[in-house]
Amino acid sequence: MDELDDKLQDLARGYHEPPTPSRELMWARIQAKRAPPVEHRPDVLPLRPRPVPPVRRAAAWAAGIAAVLLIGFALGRRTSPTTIPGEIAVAPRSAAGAPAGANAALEVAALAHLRQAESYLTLFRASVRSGDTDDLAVSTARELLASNRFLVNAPATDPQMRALLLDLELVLVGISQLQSSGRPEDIRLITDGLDEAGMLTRLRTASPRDSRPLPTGVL
Amino acid sequence: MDDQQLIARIRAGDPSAERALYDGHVDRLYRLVFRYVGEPDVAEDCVQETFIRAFEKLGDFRGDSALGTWLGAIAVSTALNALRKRKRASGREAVWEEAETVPAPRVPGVDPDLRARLHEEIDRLPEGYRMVFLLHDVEGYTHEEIGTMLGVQSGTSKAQLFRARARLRDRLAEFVRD
Repeated sequence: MDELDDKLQDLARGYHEPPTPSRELMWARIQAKRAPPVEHRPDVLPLRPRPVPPVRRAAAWAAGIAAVLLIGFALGRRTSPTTIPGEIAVAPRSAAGAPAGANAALEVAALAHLRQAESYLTLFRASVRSGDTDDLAVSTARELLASNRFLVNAPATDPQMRALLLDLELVLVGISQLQSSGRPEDIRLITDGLDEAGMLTRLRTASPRDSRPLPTGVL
Repeated sequence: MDDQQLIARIRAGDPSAERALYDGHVDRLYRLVFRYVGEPDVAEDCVQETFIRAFEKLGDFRGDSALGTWLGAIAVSTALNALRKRKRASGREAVWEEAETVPAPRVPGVDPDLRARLHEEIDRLPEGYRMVFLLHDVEGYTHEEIGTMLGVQSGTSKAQLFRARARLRDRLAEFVRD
């Protein structure tokens, strides 16, 4: 290589000089794209608990949990792992109001819900930080809100988990109403709320990721 | 942790290993792709696609090359596809090997500076020349690595680089003389 090539090579280093990449945003998008497609089952999602005869209670629980799981596995798994944590903050299986099998399914549903909420909020924050607020997936917030309400109302959910779900509900309600307002102040209020509640940290703590797979066949 | 350990953990379903792979390679892949496509949005899309394909195909990785080179090959393929789609969309034909390009119109009495003219001429290189030139002379990959990424012999990479430099020298001769 002669002197001219050296000179050209030196000048060529300024060609398409790369900016700093948006690592977190790209990672969130990768996780979102790897998640399975959304499957809507609003017809079986009991948004408001209704009294049911005792003999039908187990069937009603199973249907409700199945709906949450469907949404959970469809919307969720934005992060690849199919794992379950060592502990999850739902009540012991002897908790009143639901049979043991339903409690186990509720644990799985709660875990899937928390993970998808964490992934969604991470993506939301990344979009806001990058100024990409045109598509904040408000409809996803509404779907998460429905699952969240179901878990809040579940008798087997313990008080600590319920408190987390209620805080999460406030955030999701704020996001779900963005479409009609969409002002930067509204978005800022939501992100401030996320920070003040330590929401992402609490969600990660409540749904840690390890290498154990989610139990299958719970439905 | 070496590549094989990282891959083993990913295959075992460890999400932190996936993130570690991403963190270890994302900056380099982004540089590589951005040099080629030149647009942040397109580059980000390509890098995202690269990792999605890599996680899907990790089971096919045999370790014949370094993990970074294997990822680079996916990134290059993704970037080439992105540019070809864009060119098809704009009604222009993608040109891989030899292609006579029309020199930029010159304004009498006004000489652009050498750097700007060089960048214009890099843009006008046939895609194969441009890719090899950017990978070797700008990003510092070896001909062996480039050969693996592009699926060609290292000798082909050397030949492409030789021709790319010759074309640039030829096109820029009058500026360099100044």
